[in-house]
Amino acid sequence: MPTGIPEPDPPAAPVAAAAPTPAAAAAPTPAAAAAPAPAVSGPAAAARALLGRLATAAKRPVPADSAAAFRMAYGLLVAFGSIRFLAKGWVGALYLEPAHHLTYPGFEWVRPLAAPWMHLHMAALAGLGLCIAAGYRHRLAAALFVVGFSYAELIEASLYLNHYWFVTLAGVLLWLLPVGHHWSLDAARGRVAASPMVPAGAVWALRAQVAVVYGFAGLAKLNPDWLLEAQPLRIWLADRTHLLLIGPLLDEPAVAYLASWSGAFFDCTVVGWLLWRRTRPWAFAALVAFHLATGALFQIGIFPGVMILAALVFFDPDWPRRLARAARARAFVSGPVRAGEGQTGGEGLTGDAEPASGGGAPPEVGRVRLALLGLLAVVQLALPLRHYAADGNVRWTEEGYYLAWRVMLTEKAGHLEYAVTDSATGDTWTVDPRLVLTDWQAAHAATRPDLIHAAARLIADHYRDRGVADPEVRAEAWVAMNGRPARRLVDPGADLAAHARADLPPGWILEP
Amino acid sequence: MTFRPAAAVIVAAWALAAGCGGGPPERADVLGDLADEVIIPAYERLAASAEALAGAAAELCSTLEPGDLAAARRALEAARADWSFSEAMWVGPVMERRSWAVIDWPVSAEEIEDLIADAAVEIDYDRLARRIGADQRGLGAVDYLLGPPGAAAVLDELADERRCAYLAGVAEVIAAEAALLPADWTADFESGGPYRAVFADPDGSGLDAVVNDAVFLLESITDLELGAALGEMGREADPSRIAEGPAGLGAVDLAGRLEGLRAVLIGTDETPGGLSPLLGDDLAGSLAARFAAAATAVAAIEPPLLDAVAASPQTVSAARAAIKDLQITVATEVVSQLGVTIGFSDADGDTGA
Repeated sequence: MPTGIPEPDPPAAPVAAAAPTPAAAAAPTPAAAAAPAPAVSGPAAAARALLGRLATAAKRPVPADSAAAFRMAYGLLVAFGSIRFLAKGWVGALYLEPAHHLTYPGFEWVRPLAAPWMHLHMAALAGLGLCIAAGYRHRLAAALFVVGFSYAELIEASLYLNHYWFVTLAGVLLWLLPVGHHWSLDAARGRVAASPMVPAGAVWALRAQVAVVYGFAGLAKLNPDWLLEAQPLRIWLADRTHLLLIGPLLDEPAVAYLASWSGAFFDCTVVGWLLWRRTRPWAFAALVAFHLATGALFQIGIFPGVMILAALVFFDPDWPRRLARAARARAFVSGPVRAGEGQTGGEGLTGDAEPASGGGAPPEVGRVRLALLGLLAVVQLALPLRHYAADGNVRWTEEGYYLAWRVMLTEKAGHLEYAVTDSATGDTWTVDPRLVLTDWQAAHAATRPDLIHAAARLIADHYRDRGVADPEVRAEAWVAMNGRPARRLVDPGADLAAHARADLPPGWILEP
Repeated sequence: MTFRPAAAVIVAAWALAAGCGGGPPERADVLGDLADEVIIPAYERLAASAEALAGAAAELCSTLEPGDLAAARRALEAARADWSFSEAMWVGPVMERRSWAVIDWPVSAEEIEDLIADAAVEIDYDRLARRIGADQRGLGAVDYLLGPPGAAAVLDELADERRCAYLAGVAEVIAAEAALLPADWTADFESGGPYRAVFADPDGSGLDAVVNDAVFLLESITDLELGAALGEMGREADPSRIAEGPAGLGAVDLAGRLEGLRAVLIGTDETPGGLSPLLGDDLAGSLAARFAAAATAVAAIEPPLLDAVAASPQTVSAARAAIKDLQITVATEVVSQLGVTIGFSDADGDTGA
């Protein structure tokens, strides 16, 4: 039987052999503690040894409570989000009503289902969310959810949101990680082996997923506009002066600077504070306050709730049990104490003690899943950094913006129209993008070069269908960013219809 | 109760910053000033000029004198100018009441003539106010019935009692509708109190509404009207997109609409201000230069506008280009500076991809 985890060098004890007791879960495993020193010196050997110790630590069993809670919260939130999407009529408004969709390069073939199938698709996503939460065939449910959710997201690129990308990635993690063996229907029914423990690596992976969001979002904020001009918060906060109590302060430049710098500091450092036991409660409280504030100030939907619940994974792996115990202990002050309750030590969210009920080997993670997790990690590091390979100011060009946690960095307003030329006759006329797009699609397209190109190709198709054999489509696109004067966004001489989505000439996006 | 110095300092600092900070003006105050200094006076002027038009039409019908015809035409031009000026302020009551369908809508000469010719139909205020289509009344109908300047035959036509009753009745309906608008803003609108308070409410959407109206107005002028008429918005020119009556006031309308827009955004020479306290000096200056360029370009159009489109399209195209320049500035820099949402979906966003 495979252990499912690559053997470190030197070999560590099998996962099943690690003592699954509370004490063992809290402390380094004997195998890790007894790991012999590298036989040879040098950086390579040291790295191998470090990896070995890391692998051993990752296999260490820890209570599965927090991972299960993450799974349950995720499932409930995505179910809620899907139902909310249906209830607000967004399936019709955003997927079915537009005559055309602005697609991602390479995904032009993705089309919405016809009514009522698109509605049923969204309802099915809600159902899959509930399956994930309940732990009913959670891996299958998570895989299907990711596929179904990604399909919906790929239909319309103008609807791209970073928190949808987080939902996708967290769904992939829930598919790959053994988080369905505890507090799950599958475990209760014996479909999978019940285990109150998971490998520590599973919790690390969930924490890393949350850390990626904050880390890269913080990194993206370290730019001159954010730090030196307090933009775009100066603009956005000034539009919120009607808010109770704080409203009168929000159009003060000093407040915008304070919010910008503290926001950048928060994003850049909150993971560190959450990882450090002494600061964790305060960091979490700050995180809650931060997300509640941003939720009140900006239209960001369920994102604050998603991040608050996700950040709970930074607490000790048995935090749900400790919380319940603490709540019961508080209740006992005025009520009878039952035998055996409220008598374990280390209560409190950040205590060291492990649950008294801990035990059992954690479920294994196969090599394939482990490899996929590794690949996921590499992808997650590479995607947000790819914009460094792009030329120019990427806040203007938006190159490398998708899937990169570049959140709330710019206030942009654009004006977009196209000049269409019939190459056979030389006739040129102006076309409003709403010829092929809805108002909201056109508004998004006006500031985003890739969508300007996508819309140009739709307009070319429109005229080809009406007998213009070779329409040339050029964009008149003007954008004002972060309070600056408007500038042309794309080269008005570039025939966008002549180029495939991934084949545009260099320099077609102009510098601001 | 224990005195806590730290808490007291925080409260005092907050009160100082909130109450007597020297920062930018409050948006609600700017909107309130905009209502008091620009919008309400504009609707009051419209009500007065519409009332004057109704009086001039009634006088003309009672005398059928050339002098009264000329006076009625002048009154029409004044009312049109005030109506055009107010177009940049089409928020709230004027939209809720659909006043534009009563005061000014492209008319159908055929429908008007049919109604006048149908002796079975009594021409009275009730019918003209409530029982005919928008394309049979409004300033366009008055313009049609008064005919082009210098046409003496109009007096002969107006000797037809039904025709003149129609003219006077339509003018009266316009005046009655226009009179409601300033009252809506200052007295009460649909039992919700003065609309001025709704407009300037810090929790309201007055700023979004007025900026959206500005963007839409400029787009209408440049693309839907001038662009379409010049053939710059499609493969065929469509002059019918410019609604200009026999009086040939299209260019006057255009100038009035731009003046109203200027008043809203940066104020006028008489009432400086508008939204400029929120825009900053640089953007306000940039807008002023663009308004001046657009006004100069529009002034170069020899009326009637429809004739100019045919005879001197380059002049009209230059005016369109100047207004387009203004449109781009408003749709980008003004919208961005104010953080205004333009006709968006309400789906969740994280603002910045």
